[in-house]
Amino acid sequence: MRFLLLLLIAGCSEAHAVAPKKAKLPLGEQLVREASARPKRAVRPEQLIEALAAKGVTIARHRQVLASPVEASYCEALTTAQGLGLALCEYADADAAANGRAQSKRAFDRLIPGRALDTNANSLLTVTAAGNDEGERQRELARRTFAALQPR
Amino acid sequence: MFKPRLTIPALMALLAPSGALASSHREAPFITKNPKADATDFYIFKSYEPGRQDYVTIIANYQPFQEPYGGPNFFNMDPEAIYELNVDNDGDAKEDLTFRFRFDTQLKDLAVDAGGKKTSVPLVNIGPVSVNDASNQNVTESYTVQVRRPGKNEDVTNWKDGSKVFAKPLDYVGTKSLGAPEQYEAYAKAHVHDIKIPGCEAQGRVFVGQRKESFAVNLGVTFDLVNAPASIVAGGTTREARSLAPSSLDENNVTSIALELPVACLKGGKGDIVGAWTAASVRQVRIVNPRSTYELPSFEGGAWTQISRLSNPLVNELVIGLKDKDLFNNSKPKDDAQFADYVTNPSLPELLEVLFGSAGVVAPNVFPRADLVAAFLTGVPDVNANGSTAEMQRLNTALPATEKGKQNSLGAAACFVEGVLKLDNAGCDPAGFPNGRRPGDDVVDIALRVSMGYLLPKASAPSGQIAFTDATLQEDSQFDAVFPYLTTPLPGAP
Repeated sequence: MRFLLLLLIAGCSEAHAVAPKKAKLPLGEQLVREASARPKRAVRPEQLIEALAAKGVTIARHRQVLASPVEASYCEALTTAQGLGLALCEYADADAAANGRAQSKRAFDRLIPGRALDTNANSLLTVTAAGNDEGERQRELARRTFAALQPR
Repeated sequence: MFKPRLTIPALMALLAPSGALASSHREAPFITKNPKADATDFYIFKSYEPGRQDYVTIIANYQPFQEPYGGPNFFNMDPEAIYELNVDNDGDAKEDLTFRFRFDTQLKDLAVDAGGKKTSVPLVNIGPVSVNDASNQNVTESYTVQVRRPGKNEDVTNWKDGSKVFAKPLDYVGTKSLGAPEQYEAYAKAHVHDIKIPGCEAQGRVFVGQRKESFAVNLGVTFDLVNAPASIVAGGTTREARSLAPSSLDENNVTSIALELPVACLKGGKGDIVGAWTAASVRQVRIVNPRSTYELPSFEGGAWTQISRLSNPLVNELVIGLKDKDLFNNSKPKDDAQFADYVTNPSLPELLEVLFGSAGVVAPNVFPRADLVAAFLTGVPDVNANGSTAEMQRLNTALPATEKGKQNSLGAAACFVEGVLKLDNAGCDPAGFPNGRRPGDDVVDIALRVSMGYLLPKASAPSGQIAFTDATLQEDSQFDAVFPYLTTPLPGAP
């Protein structure tokens, strides 16, 4: 009888256990959680930074940014010295990346016009609209460079 | 090789709870101990009441988060404090004209017969109160106004009878005490006084009393962005998208000090551009009376010491670092160089980038932020710059007012296209913030957009043209068309 009761309690506990919702975490904790949950293989922001540097485009700053708005596992924002903005997000798999791209277009295309969104395997690159000719050149270079990178 | 510019612990500190956030409500640690001296919002604008085109209205709100039912004491002003409206009319960041308000509270000590004994009542009124009959009012408030110019301090007087003392209406205790809202408004309007200001030819007007909270903000979206759908925060392209959420302050009242002054009096024969701010001070020393009386709960003395300062909204709230917020409240505009880094290298855009960078939101990449220096510290060249570098609201009094119903809630910000002033731009309303500030200017949306580089060229601010919003609309339709413009307070009981 006691054993049955324990089983019942254990069953109830299991039924009511709820994983913490990401959206309810403080921002700092959410970023920590996302940084620790990067997929094992992806085209990484670090790769893009290195590849662009080899082609003469300097990333002036980069930082982890919140991934949940585009349903990604992990994201970084990068800005070139000339002010072009990029975001590289990693997803669990290619399908998730495609869904993330669709979600980003659905939520933000009207609000942030002129963006270009490309997927490569399970990664998504978002490039903002360029403000001038040099920005436009960098934008196309960044897209081509990203497309040529291999997940690692 | 690369270092993130804002670390996670720094972000966590940025987002740590620090009390409720609004325009300037309980924004600094020390002022939370002195709510009666806490300035919450400040406005200066060309009067848009019909026929008052030659006047400027200045309003300073005090005492934040007033719950309408906050009896039995409600929200008297502090008789041991001074409240000031300061005007710089020659661009040296020093006050040339100060209107100093001091308050007095009188207790009638009304009593009722209880078993043959006269017992003092514990309430501020024991029956209905009206303009014509204050016999049931147990506590009354009055105030004096002094106009202070360098080397000369004079009393402002009632235009009609020369009296130096002005009556302040009782707070809106409830409808049983003070009638329905329209009756309370008539009662409050009877406390708008025509005034004679020494040194000014034309008469002015003054009102001090409780008003409905005039600031509107969606705290959840603006300051707890992690739970806000990004599409809302960056989706304010239409009026509907800017009005999705009620204001978090919608159930509160404030106490307003409102002054209407002839433009000529304000300018003092100098240029068209005036700078203005409010400040409150208390005595430096307070000794608590161990045998308190109503009149003397404490002994206060020493020099007047400023503990609250406010001009542009959200500055001490969102721009100044926590460690310097009390210092900012002590400081004067002429000494603002000490806070310059907070404006030239602000933290808010970095936070917005962290929140929405995955969608391509990018913080401006030019430092120092000269655009913010112009908006907050110097004024905009050819519009309202007055030669000083100091945080104050600047108003070009030569620009005409825009009547109610035609104001753009994005104010003068709509007069700029990628940082270039274009007065013929669609929606341009040069009579609004940051050329002064009107009650209906949606300063939260303007601040979000300007901080992200609305006034910068696109190359420097890739996200400068995104329509950021807190999804709580503030506009002229929410306010009256006549002085004191702010609306009837909410009653303590319906």
